[in-house]
Amino acid sequence: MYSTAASAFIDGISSRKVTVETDVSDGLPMFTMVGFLASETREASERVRSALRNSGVFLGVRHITVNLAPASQHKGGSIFDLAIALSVLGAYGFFPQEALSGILFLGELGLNGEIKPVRGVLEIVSCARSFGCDRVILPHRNLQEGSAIKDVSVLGADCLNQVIRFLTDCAAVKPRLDEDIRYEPPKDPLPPLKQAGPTSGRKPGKAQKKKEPDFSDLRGQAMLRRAAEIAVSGFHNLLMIGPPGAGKTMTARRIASILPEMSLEEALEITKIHSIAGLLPEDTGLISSRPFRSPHHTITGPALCGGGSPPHPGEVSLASGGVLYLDELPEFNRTVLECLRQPLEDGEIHISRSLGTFVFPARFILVASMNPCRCGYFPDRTKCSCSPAQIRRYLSKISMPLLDRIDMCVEARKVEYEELTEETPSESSEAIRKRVSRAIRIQAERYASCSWKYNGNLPSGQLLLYGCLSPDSRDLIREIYDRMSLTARSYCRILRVSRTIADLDGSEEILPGHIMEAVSFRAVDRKYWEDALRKY
Amino acid sequence: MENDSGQAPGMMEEEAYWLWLCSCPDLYRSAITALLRYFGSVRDIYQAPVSALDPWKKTGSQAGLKWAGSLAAHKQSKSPEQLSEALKQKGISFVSSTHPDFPPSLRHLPDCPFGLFYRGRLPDPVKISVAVIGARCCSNYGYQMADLLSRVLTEQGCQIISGMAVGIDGAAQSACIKNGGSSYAVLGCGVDICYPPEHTELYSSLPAHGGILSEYAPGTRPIRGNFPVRNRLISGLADAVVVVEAREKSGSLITADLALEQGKDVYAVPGRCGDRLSLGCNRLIEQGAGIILSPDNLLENLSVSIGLKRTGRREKCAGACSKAPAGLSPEEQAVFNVLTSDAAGAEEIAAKASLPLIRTLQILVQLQLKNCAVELSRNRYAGTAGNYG
Repeated sequence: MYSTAASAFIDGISSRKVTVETDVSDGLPMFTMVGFLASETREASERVRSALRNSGVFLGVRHITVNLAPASQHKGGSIFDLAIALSVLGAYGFFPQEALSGILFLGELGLNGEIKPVRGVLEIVSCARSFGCDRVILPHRNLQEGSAIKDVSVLGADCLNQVIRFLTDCAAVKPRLDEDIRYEPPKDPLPPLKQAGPTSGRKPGKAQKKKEPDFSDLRGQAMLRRAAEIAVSGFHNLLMIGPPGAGKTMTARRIASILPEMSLEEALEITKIHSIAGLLPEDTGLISSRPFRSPHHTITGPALCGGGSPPHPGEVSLASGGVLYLDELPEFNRTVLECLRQPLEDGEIHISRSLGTFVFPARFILVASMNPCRCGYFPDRTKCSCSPAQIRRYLSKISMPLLDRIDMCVEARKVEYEELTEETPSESSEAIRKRVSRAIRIQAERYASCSWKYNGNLPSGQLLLYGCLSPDSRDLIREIYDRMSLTARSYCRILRVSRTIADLDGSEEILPGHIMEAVSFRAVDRKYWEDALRKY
Repeated sequence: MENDSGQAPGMMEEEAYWLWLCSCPDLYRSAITALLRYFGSVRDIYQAPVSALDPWKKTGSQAGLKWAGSLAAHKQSKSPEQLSEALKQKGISFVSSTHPDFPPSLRHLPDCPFGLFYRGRLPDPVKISVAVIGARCCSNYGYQMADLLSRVLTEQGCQIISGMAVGIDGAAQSACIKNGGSSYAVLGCGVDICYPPEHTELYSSLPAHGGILSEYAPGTRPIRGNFPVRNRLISGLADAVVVVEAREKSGSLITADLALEQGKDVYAVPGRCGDRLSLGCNRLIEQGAGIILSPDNLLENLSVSIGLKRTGRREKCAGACSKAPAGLSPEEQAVFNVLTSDAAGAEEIAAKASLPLIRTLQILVQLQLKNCAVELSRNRYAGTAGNYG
């Protein structure tokens, strides 16, 4: 006899439907699994058999063949266990095919029949409709996550028995039992399948009570604060240069606390990625705060950009919508850093493997910090004795094309004792965040009909349209362009940053003051290093 | 060899032999001296058979073996005509110490080179030459003083001699060229090699505004040992030597010592007590070098010591102190007054000028546009030398 059940899995970042087909026939007593399966998927036969037996189901001695269609697609993971178990029951004639149709089954089975959480639930549930399913049964611990999607009914189960009872109740049939299949339901009363409340999923998960680093505990560093505020307000990439112990890392860690609120779509996208990467804490719905990722400098290319087979999202994708912080930028492997060029430009990363090309989102704010030289004190020649060649070697670890994609640069300096011991607390993250949110709202209104959302992504062709330079500013930027010998690229970056500063100021037009401030934070270029090397 | 016309044919021939001898790799002054003593003249060295070099090959000393071997190879592979053609193609000229164009000030050096390779021109012996030298790792103060002194000297018609190194040397030579003067660089490598590579721009503009000189054959790599040796040419070509910034152990001090041996005047820019970058300069002053109190003061001393004729009217200024330019707003004035010749962070400047940080940043950009401030590295600012003396 034959039966099917629907399931799905994550291929790269998108979900694909899988139809689990089971055939039960006479022959040698075997459980054969086919359909281009990874070994963890093939091992499902053992899990399913034990789970069924320990749930009270005794299968007769038959030849069981399970096929996961489409067979040409490579499948991995343990997400199909539940669907396989139910499809086997269907094939034994335990319940009719109608009982299984229109339902998407997700979950890994334990040997005792327990249903364990899986990855990527949010993405799969969001596609359930397009798979022809209006109901999803998934592990209870993924219920919050799954119920963020409102157009399907999502049910959470703890064990296989709950699902069996639900299906028999729904189909209003008495399970067929004969010499081939026996079922002894557990004596203890079974709780029904859980349905999430109307507001669940949309609410943040368990509020993180642990104290996040706050800008109020950062003393002094007015420049770094201001630069961080501007960078976050317009999604500009930021480079901090300074001696060791100047507070670069401290500032970067606090940037997470001033990131603006997320829109629902952003939250969905960020949660999907984290769920696929298996980083979503259990029993949480949508992620409530923007990600802040700070990989160590020993990171490999695939870990940064995504990779493996099948491709797994990397740090750039995990940081999408938030901040990717690279501390000690020159210490990173150069080829690894070069991989950042494309995502910085396009806001997504294309990973091509023989299996196909996968596109992961990568719309992050790059915050990087570095020492100006090996000892860290250049250009303070009283402390730094690095030779120009040493400095050049140190800086050459970062390529100019990468620096070209960083909009802002700020110098970090040593904090003075007076600032450290200052009595009055510094401005808190909450106050900064208010200004940031306002600037983000202004941008959201301005770019409502555009494909980009923030000034940092404003295409250079649209700069003059959205730039709104006042006549004074026009003269000023021309003078600066000539006098400071800017390149076309740095000119565009200054305009983008000025736009953000004007937004922070609540000003419709970009005024000369905004441009002058943007010029102070302008990014470094080759000329900057060469000049510094020649002078010191 | 520009002035070939009008020279006696014998002279041209000898010049070609000198070029041939000086182009031999690994053959240094001492070896050439020994060869001359043995063979008598450069022509005889060229015409001697390879076997005549055997005595040196047999001495067993490592250096002797090396140069004798390379001279033997040079004899077999290169002819004076080939070498002269190759030089012409590279735009390099050669002058031997016997040629009338050879800088006369170098002739009486005890260790005068046998020939000079150069691009551009040789220094004009009639004009006054001043060497402006100093540390590679210099402070902004040193950089600006080099720039200022070189500019003032150029205005007075002096030629600036230096070593094209990063830091003070480069600053002095760039300032000279920018102000329309002529500057000459003496290199420790072949004149066809730009060393240090940061100075490609300076290197390519020097031949048109002066020259690049070296006693080493084209193609000679920048070897550490060559640099102190070429310092004698810098001091030798100059009528006076100005040391801008030097650590206690510095190549510039070697040049200053050589200058004193050669009977040249040495002037030093004083530094602050305890400033390591200026320790060498202060030591020179202690030992009796002339102290530079201001550009004007230097010019005065030079007119007494080497007869520099002062042209143009320069306003007297007591010292190298910054003078506020006209037309600044009160806020700009406040920020400008805080700026020093040393780089200071924006926050520090804002605190000293008692202005909000963002306003200070804006004013600093305005001051940069008005040439009253420079941004030395990101967010570190200093006043400009444009306002000195």
